[in-house]
Amino acid sequence: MMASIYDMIKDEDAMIVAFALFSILFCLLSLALLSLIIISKIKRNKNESVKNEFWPKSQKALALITIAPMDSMEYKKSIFFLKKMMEQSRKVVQWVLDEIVKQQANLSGESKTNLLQAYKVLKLKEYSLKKLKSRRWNVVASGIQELERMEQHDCEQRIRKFLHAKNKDLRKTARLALASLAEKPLDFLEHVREEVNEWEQMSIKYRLRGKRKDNLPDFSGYYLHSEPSVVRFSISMSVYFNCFEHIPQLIDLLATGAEDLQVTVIEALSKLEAFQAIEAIETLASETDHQPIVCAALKFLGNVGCSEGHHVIERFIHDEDVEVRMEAVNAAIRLDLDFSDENNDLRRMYAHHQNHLIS
Amino acid sequence: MNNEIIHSIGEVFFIFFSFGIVSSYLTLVFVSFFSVKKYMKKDRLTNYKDLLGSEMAPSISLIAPAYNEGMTIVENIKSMLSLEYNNYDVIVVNDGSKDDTLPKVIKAYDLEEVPFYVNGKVKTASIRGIYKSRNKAFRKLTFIDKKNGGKADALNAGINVSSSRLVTCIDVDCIIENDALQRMVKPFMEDAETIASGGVVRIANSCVVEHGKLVKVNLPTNRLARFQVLEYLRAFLMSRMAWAKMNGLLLISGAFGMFDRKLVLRAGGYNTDTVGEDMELVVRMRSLLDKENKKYKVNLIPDPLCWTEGPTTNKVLGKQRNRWARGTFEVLKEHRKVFLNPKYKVMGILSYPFWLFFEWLAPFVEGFGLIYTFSHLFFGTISWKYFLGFTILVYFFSLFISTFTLYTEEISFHKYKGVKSQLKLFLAAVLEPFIFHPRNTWWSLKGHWDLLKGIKSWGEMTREGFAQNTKSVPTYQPQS
Repeated sequence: MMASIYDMIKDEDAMIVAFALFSILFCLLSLALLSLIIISKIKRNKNESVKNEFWPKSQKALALITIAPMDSMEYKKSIFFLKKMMEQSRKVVQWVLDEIVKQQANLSGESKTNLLQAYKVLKLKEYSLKKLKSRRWNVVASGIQELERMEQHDCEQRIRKFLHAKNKDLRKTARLALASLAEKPLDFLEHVREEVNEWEQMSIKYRLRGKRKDNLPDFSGYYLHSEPSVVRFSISMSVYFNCFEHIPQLIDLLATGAEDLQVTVIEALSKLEAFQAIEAIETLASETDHQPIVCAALKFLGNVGCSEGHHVIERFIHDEDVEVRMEAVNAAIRLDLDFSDENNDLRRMYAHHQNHLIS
Repeated sequence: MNNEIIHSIGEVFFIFFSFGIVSSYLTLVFVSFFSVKKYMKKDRLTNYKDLLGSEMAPSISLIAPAYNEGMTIVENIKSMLSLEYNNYDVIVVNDGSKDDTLPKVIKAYDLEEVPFYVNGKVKTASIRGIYKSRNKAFRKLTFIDKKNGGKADALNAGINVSSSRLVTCIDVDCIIENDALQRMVKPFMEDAETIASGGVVRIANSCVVEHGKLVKVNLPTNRLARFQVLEYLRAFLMSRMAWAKMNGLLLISGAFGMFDRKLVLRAGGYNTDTVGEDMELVVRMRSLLDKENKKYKVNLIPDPLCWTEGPTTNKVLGKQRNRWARGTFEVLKEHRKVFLNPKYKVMGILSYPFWLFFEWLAPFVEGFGLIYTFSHLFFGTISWKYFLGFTILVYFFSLFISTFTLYTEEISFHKYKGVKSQLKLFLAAVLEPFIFHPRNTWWSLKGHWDLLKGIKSWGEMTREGFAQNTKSVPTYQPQS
């Protein structure tokens, strides 16, 4: 093959023809791309001008919808106006929908109810539901998000079927929507067989603000889940909802878990100020050489505020690892213990922590 | 006979090099295009506001080294302190400035010296003092005053002082978008294997800047800066985006990059012996994990998160490119064991050879290729038709790559408004191979010559300043 390529290169005339053909191809492609750029720019500018023309009027209409009573003339007129505007194009429909979704997030009480009603009256709910039938995952996901943000609890079952969608991001969007909308917001955890990453955990937690504890599952039930991220998430939720009753199960996890999980458990116990765990954590810290466990244990001892752990702190205050030493000093300061003696390095560490230079 | 053998070797090299460069660039351009499109789809569904109110937001230290930045430092720090993120601190490292950087910051932010203990895992030039503000409004700010040791040394001092999970190393005079940290932290939260994440750097010349924030994007009026707009778009949006997708990214710009702090410390921090310290750190972190056979990811966010001022004169631009060429060579030389070594996976098999052949070697091939071709033209062993045909092909290929990048920008971030701006950028793409590229090649070759002469300095740079302030002092420049 190499020989044939070499022979072809030797054939000057053939090469010149090839050069010319490829040059024309790349030239045409460049011009085509330039045309696409210009068309896109012109379209964008046109959209912008349409939006600029329509925007102030629609803003006024939306403002009236939020403040006027639903049976008032102003409300009806505004709805009529928006309906008429939305007949222009799907882009306008999406603009109105986006604006309603955005505005309702900052509203409460009657104003919010008015907007939620407008969402239905303007048939925007149907528009969002129609998106769920799309073949494109991102369109479906945006439909789910709209339903979630417009608090359409009755759509729970329709969203639930996307928990098993092919696309990972779509599954994630469905999980987040259910965390907001479902009566039992976290029952999907049972069936999760993929990583619930830190970002998703944060997003779920955000959606659970203000939810009543009795609607939530018993998180300790997921401590032995096959997916480690679900276990970590459950532990963090136990802390978030101050589930002190889960402390015994968390202590049990210390004995069975992997090193990374043990760190998470110690941090959780620290936040729950679980003094019952002192002995188990002291033992673990003495037996392990895994630095993050030792650091977490020292943080726990300092946080729980029990001076029983002073011998552990004393042991690690002269550790080779500077981060372990720093944690030990931090714990010692919290417990009002002073091991600095004549050691300049330690004295500087004490001064550093006492001044809260670095939290 | 000998001449014939040399000629044949030259031709075989020509085939491989041409085929390699064309196929690599075509692959990169398409991979990045689809990668950006996918990112945009996902990004539209992301609500970054969730993060702002969350206690799960990872802690970040923004580390900015400063050397003779007295004119703008107060405003720059103010801008850094006002980013939208709830769990970050700002560590400014005064690297032995000879101007009034230190007194100005002390006065503006009501700083007092505090006792400190520095986790000295990475050796640095000695620290003279650490300052915190008496004013609680500036509690996020830590100011380190140290002896001069260079940019890498200053960054290392900041990393030593930081106790955050992540460190973001930036150039103090860059303009950072308000939501930059939220976007940069996302890959770390989405994938625990992420060790570093870079942001796209864009050229800020002629843009409107108010109180350290970018308020309006304009295309530079200066011709050199406009070429750099195109060049940065190609480098970040096309090349690096594709490398990130293939998990082969070797360079995260020193102007704006986020790293796992513990891993940076484990890798030994920034290398102070090279002017390509940003690339060197990424290669070293990757090497470390590859050796340990651990999985990791190096990410790039295509959003324009950081804006920098590009040089506007040949003299300053030449110095910058000279330094980049030296930096590239130093890093490739330092990590030569990576070359085609399967132990280093994508980096060893794909990224390093690409950098070696198509980034580092390209100026030599171009220079030598021109001499070689002209000599053959002179002796009549190649026809003019053949030469012209090949030159025109190379020209249109480069135009296609540039236009494709412009198209990717237009369908994603479309920062440059109006048809006129697009036509100006296309014109820059048309002219670039004649005006900008030859100079770049020359500066790169000169950089290697300087390297042979043992020159290791950053070089004196002149900046116009966003507020039309002109200063002429040695200052750090981002490497992209």
